[in-house]
Amino acid sequence: MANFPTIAIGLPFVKAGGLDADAAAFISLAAITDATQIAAINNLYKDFKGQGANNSSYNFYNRLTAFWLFVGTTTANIKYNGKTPSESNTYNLAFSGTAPTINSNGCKFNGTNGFADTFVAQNIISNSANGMSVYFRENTLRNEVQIGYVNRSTFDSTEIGMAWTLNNKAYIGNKSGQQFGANTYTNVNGLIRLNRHSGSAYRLYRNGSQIELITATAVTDNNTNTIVIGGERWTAGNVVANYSDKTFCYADIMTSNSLSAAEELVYYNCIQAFQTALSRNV
Amino acid sequence: MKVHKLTATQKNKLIGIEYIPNCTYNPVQDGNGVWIVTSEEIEQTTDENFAWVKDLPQIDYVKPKDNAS
Repeated sequence: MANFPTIAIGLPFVKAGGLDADAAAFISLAAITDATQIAAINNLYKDFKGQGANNSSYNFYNRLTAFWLFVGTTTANIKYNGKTPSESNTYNLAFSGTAPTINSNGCKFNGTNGFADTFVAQNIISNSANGMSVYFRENTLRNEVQIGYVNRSTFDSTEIGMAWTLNNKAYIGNKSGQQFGANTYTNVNGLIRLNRHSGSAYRLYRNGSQIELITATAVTDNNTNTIVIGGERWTAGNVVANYSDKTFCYADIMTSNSLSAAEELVYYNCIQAFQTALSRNV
Repeated sequence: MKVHKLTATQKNKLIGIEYIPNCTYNPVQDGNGVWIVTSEEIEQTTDENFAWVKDLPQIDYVKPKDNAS
C-alpha cells in the first residue's frame, strides 16, 4: 500500500506527522496558530513524554495531574489544562478579579484581586509524594503567594510564596504548616517547584536546583478548597489573599507523584527550553 | 490606585458573575475592611443588569495587611 503523507489541517507550518497527538489537541483547543508557539508546545509535550531533545528518559506527562502553558492572548486561549486537553477538562482554569494581562510574555495578574482557579482540590494532593510549580518572569520580592492554599484554622498549607520582602525568605508549606524557609533570596524568578518526596519532608527547587529542605510531617486536611494561581486560597470564606503581580509562563500540579533530584533538573531543562523557544525565558 | 467601594449586599450580588468571558468579579476587602472592585472590572462591564457598578463611589485603595502568620 502506498505510504501517503498525512497533513495536519488547520495547523500551519508544521511538518506532516510532526505533532504529538496531545499537543495537537491542546493547540487546536487553545486556538494557537503561530508557528513558533506550535513548535514550542509540541516540543514540550515530546519532552514531557521522554521523546524529546531535552528528555529521553522520564515520562513526566503521566505524572502530571495538570499543567498550564499560558500561551495566547486571551483567557480563552490560556485556560486549558495541557494534560489530556479537552473543553470539559476538570482543571481548565477559571479567572476571577481584574482580568490578567496576557501577551507573549505570559499571564500577568494585577496583585490586587486577580487570580486563576485550578479546580485542583487540595485534599486530593498526596501526603507522601506531590509537586507543584510556577515559572514567573519578575525578579522582584513581594509579600505574595504565587500558587497555593492555606487552612486558616490550622495554618497548614500547600503553597509557594517566593520570596517575601518581609525577610527575603520563601513562604511555603506542603501539606504542613506555613513557614518561612531557612535561606534568604535576591534571585527569585524562573521555575520555582515544591516537591514532597516523603511523608516527613519536602523540598523547594529553583531552576532545577534544591534551595530548601523542610522537615515537616504531612497532615491530613479534608477541606475541599481548590488551589489557585496568583494568590493563596483560604478556607475561611473560600476567599483568596496575598495576591501575586507576577507574569506566569507555566504552572503545574502533580497530586500524587514526585520527582527525584535528577528528574528535577531534567524537568527544568524541558520547561526552560519551552520558555526559550518562546523568547520569554529568564 | 483608585478602586470602587461596595456594600456587603452589592458584593454578594457580584460574586460568581462573569463580567467578561472566563472572568468573574472578585470583590475583596481592602486594608480598612471595605469591600471593593477594581476600575478594570467596572470598565469592562457591559451587562446592563450590572450597569449599577458604574455608579459605585471611587476611593483610594488601601493595601491589606500581609498575612504571614
